[in-house]
Amino acid sequence: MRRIAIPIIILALAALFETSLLPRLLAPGLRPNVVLIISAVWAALRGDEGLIWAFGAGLMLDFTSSGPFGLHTAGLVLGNLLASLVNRLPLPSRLFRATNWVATTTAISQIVLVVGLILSGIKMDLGYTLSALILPSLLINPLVSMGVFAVLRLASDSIDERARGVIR
Amino acid sequence: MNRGQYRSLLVPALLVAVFILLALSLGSQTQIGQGPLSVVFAPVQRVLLSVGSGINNALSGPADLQTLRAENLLLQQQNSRLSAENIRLRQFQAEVDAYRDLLKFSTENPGIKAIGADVVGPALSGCNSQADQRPIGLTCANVIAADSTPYLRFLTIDVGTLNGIRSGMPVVGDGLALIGRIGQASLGSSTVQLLNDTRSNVNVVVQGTRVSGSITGQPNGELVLQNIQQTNSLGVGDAVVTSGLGGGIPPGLPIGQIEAIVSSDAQLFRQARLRPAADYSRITTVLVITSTLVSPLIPESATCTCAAPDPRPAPGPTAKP
Repeated sequence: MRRIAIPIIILALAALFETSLLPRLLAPGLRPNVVLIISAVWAALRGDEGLIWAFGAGLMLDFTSSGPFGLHTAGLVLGNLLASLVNRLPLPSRLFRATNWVATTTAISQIVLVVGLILSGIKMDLGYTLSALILPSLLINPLVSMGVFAVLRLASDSIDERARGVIR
Repeated sequence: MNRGQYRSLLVPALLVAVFILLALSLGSQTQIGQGPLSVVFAPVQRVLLSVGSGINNALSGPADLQTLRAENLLLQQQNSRLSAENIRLRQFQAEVDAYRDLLKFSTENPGIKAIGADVVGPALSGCNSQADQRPIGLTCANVIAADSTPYLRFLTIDVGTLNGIRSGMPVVGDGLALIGRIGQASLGSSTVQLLNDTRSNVNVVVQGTRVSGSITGQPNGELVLQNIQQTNSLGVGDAVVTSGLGGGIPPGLPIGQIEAIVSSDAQLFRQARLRPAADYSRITTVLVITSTLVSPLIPESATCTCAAPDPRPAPGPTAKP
């Protein structure tokens, strides 16, 4: 039960933080996608469990969006799936793996969002979208993910140690 | 179920779930949105809003810088109000001309009654302080969130169907400048589709010339006046107000001023870029027009009945506090 409730609470708080607090502090192109970062870093640390987080994170973002429901969910699940494929390559460190994972998920989820919005009839300016929103988020999200990684790694290690203790 | 089976089932299950969500959403065009979750989300968002404002103030640096920022904000608000006021006064000027014609008509036809009134935009600095002075038909709301999709321009406000809010109701900011319409109303909150969203479309007229057209948002957040015939003239600085045609938006609400003509003579219709009367990125408090009839918006004290035509020249509409 805790394994379900805790992610839901964390992701809901992150979604509220991203939509209520950050818009007061930062301009659109400078805002990190906190929910995406948390779910992607957790997926980088925990593997399959992170995919479920990504699904939950997508739902949280869809609940706070006026766009077609499911686009964020599709973006995050597909992004994390592709990131898991990319990150099968040998990487120098867990931190590098996490930032790489976040960058890949950011790129894929943004592409899914843009394509989905175009398919649903929303007018997009691809040049503006790329320069003002996608490229800045590809820079900012991996940067912010370093801090998130430090916190979530502790949580992940704690879970592993507790699991080993139970096995003993 | 062992770990291998679990892994082999997880990915297809998630993909099927995503596919079903997308098929339901894109296929039916129905918005799920915040729905019942708004009851839980709205209070937390309200708290986060106050926390965000607090952090914002704390991070704004030295005291003198903060004073400058406050003064700047005040001046921007004043500028916004005065711009809207200016647009409205120009509207009144046009109305005065029309009233003069009507007075002439009225003098020639003494049996017909005429009622004139005006609407004065309140300065919005928070919902509670304005509660007693608000005219009937306006519901005050705080902006509690932005949209999680950066390509859409929606705001979330803290009033919903429980407060009588319905989809499509016009939303105004400082000086009664139109900023958008209610997109989706949930129990405890509603989304506001800003005028600069790409799916927004509002019928407008250019003051003075009464040239009609429509305004829509651009992907980069600009407002564009479009569907103006080539034979009609447009000038930089012309004020643009709502026409009142379609969509339940009252006529005469200020929207902005023409900043630049962006179309060429070769095009079928003319286009112009607008400078909005309100700064959409700084909106914290809004008013929702819950009644689309003109009469409930007008304070009783602002209504004058001109039963017997006055032979003197017609006075301009007077502003009421």
